[in-house]
Amino acid sequence: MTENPPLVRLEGVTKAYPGVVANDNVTLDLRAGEIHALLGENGAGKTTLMGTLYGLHRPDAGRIVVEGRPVSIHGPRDALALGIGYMQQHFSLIPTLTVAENVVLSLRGAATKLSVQGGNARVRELAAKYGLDVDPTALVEQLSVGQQQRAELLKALARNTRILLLDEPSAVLTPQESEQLGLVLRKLAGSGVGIFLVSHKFSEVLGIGDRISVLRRGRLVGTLDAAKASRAALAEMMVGELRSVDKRPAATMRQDAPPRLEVSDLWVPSERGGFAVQGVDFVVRAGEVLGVAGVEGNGQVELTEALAGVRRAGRGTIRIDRQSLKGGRPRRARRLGVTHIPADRHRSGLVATMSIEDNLVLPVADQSPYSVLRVLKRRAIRKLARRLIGEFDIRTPTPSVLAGALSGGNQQKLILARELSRLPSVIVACYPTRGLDFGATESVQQAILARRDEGAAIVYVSVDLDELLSLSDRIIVLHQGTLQGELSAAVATPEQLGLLMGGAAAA
Amino acid sequence: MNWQLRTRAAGLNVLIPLVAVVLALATVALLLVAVGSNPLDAYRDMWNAALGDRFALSTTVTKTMPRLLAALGIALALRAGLWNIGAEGQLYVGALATTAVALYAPDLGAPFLITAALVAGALAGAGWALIPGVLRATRGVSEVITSLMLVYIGIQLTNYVLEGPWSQPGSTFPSSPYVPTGASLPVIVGGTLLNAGALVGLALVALAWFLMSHSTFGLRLNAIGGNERAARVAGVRVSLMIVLAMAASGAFAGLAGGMEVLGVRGRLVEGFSPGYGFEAIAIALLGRLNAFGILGAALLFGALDAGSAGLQTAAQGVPASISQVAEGLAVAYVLVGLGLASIIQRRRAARAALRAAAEQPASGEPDVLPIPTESVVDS
Repeated sequence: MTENPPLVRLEGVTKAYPGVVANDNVTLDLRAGEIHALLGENGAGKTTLMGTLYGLHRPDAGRIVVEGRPVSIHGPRDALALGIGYMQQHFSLIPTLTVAENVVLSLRGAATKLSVQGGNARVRELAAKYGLDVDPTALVEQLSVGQQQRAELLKALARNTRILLLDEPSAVLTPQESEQLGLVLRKLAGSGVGIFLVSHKFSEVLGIGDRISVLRRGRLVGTLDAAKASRAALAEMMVGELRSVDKRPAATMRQDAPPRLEVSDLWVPSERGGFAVQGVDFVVRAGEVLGVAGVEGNGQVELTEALAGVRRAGRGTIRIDRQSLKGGRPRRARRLGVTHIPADRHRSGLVATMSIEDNLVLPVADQSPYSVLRVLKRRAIRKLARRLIGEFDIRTPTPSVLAGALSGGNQQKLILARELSRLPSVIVACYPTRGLDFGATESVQQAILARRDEGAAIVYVSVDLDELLSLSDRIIVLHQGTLQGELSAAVATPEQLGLLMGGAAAA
Repeated sequence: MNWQLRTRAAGLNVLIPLVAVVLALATVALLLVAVGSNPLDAYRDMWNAALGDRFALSTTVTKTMPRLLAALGIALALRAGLWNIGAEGQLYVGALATTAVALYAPDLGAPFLITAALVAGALAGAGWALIPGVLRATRGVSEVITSLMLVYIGIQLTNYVLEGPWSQPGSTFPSSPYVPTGASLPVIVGGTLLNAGALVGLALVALAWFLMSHSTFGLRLNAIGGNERAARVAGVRVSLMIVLAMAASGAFAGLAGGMEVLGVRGRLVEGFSPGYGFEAIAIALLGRLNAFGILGAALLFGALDAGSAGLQTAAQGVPASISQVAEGLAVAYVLVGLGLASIIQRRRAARAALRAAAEQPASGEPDVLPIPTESVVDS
């Protein structure tokens, strides 16, 4: 039985970065006309693998075979010549040009050449053929994100791309747009294009994938037919062995627990003028999780920054264990036992140019046993780092690796490890699970709940209502900086919360 | 493995500057040939003047000191991301304060007088650097501009004092009276220029190394230099640290000026620094903000300076400024070398990670935090 060679075959591809092996001996193939989904947690090596195929970096070992021919891809130019197109998470479109102009521009140096007029016609033709609804004469900057993505796809199609690499294409789309994209991809595959689809969404890979390959810590765990795969099987492949835990730990809070965080008539100024938080009052008791719901940008970041002392409050009081917190002094907040998981973890969370251990010790560097009379005790710091690296499963060869060399998910774990390492009085967590895959999400939630059980008061901000309902004891809703209502999580429904988030104050 | 990696990195840090210096001297040799001089003769003269005998060596050490101290201070501030461009000015006001104490309190007795005079110099330098530090910390004013502007004010202030209150009748060149003998740093090796300042310099290298690598102060400076906002969120008092870092930086430069007066010249002379404070910026970068690296870089610059004096006296038509060409080329080559080394090191670290991963199978690692099955369903 003779079979056509696969469109692309990656053989034993290995790629290492300082402190982490992004791809470890990965062997995969892609057939013409199939959608091959690549599934994995953050930092599993999916994007690195695509980058290797597109020539963004050279593999340390292994080879790439296109239609039975070993090829050497030195850069995107070689990849494009082989018919490989890559749609990255960030678009490469010129906003001040039209869709057709962008397409024509991208063909410079390619076998096919087009005038702008020809481009308009060609774009229309391709758009009609694959159901990509976009006006060729529209300026890119005036397009929605979904339309820009279609323009990016058109660029690849105009080049007669046979091998299409897509990195989390649905991450920026609304559910309707995602569905539409799925239809487009199926049509493309139907015309013989092979598609590698990087994703961490089960519904997506099961819905439109033909085969699914799972990567974990840089290694290929296995490849399944989508028709035979189940969510549970995929999940186990993604994270390894699963253990069953009660999803919603029983609330241990007692009604008479002492209040640890008291906020009254709090007004927090906004950078854009006016107040981002307007006259908010609430109390959080020991052992309680207060969920903060709201559409993004309704004052949640400003509220949490004020609670952590990072941002100065304009009016009102914040009291921690009955002691007043003056704004604009993060050090004072930390002294009072407030710990802060900031929303923008890259900008406010860690120092990329310092080692993991130095990042971990930074907030407690002046305390025993990490320093004595301002002299750092390196041995104690190393011990702390090793313990936290183990407890929070930060994947690194040594604690002296620079924080900036870690993958995004591991950087997040580093901040969580630092913030949750001591028993705080109050945890202020702003979108703590954002961008994490479910394994890491669960770890973060468990770590926070463990501190709750030890008596910390938690302020937990999320846009995910299911997350809030499952974790919180009470939920407050912010809309344009004002409190719309406060509900007990036991009785609240997503519909109720949704109404409040839209600004309909509870009666 | 960790130890090996570290020694290898340390080896590169020494190797690169050495290779860069050799290349710089080779380039200069080509230039000398181009202007019709014999480079071997020129280098022999330079070698003799910088390293040829004990006296030459002591000249090199003497010329190293002010550059070394100023560079240590610059590195300290630069670790916090602060560019103290104004070490030259801090050096002048430090020299002025040291001279003033030595002239007006001669009865203190030698050890106290020297200590008091040097402390005054360090405080004056710190005070001069405090101005840009406070402006940066409280008003966000760029320390690059303010510290540089204060260089000219510091130099002119010194000139005013030398040409006004301290002017010497009949003197052709503006300078202060000589400081009393009890205020001079004693020569520690007879027949050479080597004075006690060299010991102070070594002690300060150790102090700077300790501050930068083993104190909470240094850790916080690194954090601010790496990500000021994250440092603040982590509880570092950024404004206070900026002010302290600038003051400490200025203290080193002020001490450099004071030691130049007490150890080398015996009095304050107008324009006594040929730009030590500016050269120190290059030295701090050449030494990679590491105290011992800076010691090496400062010795190199000191030797080139001492050597260029040899060229002048040998009078073979070679301009002494050729040593400045060598200094500039050395810095340029080091920068190229560091770029290459970082590429090599990145590759090496990647390979090490590969080996570590190979020894540790992914399936054998325990999941520390439990993961419930229910959450498998994505919402």
